[in-house]
Amino acid sequence: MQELVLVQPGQSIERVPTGELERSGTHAEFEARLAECGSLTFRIAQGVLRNAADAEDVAQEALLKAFRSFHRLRDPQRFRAWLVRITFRMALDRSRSAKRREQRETDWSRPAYRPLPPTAEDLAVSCEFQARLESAVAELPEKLRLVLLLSALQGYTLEEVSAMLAIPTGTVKSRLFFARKQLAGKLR
Amino acid sequence: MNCQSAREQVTDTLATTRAELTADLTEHLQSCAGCRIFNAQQTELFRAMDSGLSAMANEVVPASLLPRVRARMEETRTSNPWSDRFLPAAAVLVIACLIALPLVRRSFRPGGVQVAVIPERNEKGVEPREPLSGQPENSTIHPATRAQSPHFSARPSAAQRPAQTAEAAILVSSEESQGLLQLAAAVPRDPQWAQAMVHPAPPKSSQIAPIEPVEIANLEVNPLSEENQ
Repeated sequence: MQELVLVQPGQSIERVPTGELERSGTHAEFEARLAECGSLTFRIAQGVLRNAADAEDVAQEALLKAFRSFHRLRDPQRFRAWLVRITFRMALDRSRSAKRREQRETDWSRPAYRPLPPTAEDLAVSCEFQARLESAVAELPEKLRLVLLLSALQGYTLEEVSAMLAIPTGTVKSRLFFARKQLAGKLR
Repeated sequence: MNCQSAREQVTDTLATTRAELTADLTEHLQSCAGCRIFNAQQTELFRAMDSGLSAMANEVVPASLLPRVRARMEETRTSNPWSDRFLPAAAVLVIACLIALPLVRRSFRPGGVQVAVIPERNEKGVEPREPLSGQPENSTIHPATRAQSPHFSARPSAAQRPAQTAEAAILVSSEESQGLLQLAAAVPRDPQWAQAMVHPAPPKSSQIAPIEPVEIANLEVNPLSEENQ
């Protein structure tokens, strides 16, 4: 079947397959979102994993997974919520497998056993507190932990977090409340 | 307001990130030194917690992240999507074949005859064979013989099997096939042949020889081809 092509004056006929056009359009759209969500992805992974290299790996994988499935996304408005969930889930999986690996390895490789820098006492105290905080955050339920991490991100209000997670703002507030209360109870 | 409820209120107020204390709580804190100290400790704890969480959540993003992602995206775009599209279908096809293969082989296995032998060329040619007339090694084993043999006793007879499997069980050579055709042509001329085949004369007891079960190594059983049917 012949295809009708509208040719503007002074313009050459350039046949580009429809699938290719769609693919390039999707790619451009994803590229625009990548710049916006790349750092968010890394920070979520870093908040869970507490290891920059692992977090970068997870962020890469999550973004690629999102890229591969981007054309199937029905509602582009929910892309960020979708990406946040993918990243958080992948980071949790990585964290669990890393914990299992750590159990098999020797104690020296555990971050908690790394020797602290022999500097001022305040630094040691702050490092100790940070380690306790990280372990306390890791013990929180997943829903509370995700809300806590996203709320701590600079530049995001609670309304934006609720939009990011596609849940009501009230739910975000209540989860944040319980997360902070449980965290304080663990650190007390 | 007692101290326990005041301390709970202090914790709840700090947990909700609400800085203002209620009037009752403020009044209690002014009158109770212990709760005042608790409030100060909790305020410090939440401040440190917020500071630590902010440090956790806002680490510097490595500059290599986005270029690496873009490079891998480009790899994904340029790579052949054929495998991604057809790999699941191929996997399903392989699994279906693995499931269907035993069923197909079972359907082609001879039903009425467990062991079939292509008979050698015989001088007598087209004579109908009696199961107990000797030469068992050159003939197809008759179902009656199989029923008598303990080797085949556990299996159902040809009559008990479905007709569709019995068709596939008959395995004859081309010469024997021609002989059978000649026999079929001769029967209308001489009806006594048919009578003899339907009601064979009882063999003499002295002629009955014990038939050993036939054991044939590396026997290949094939379905009857169309030209031999």
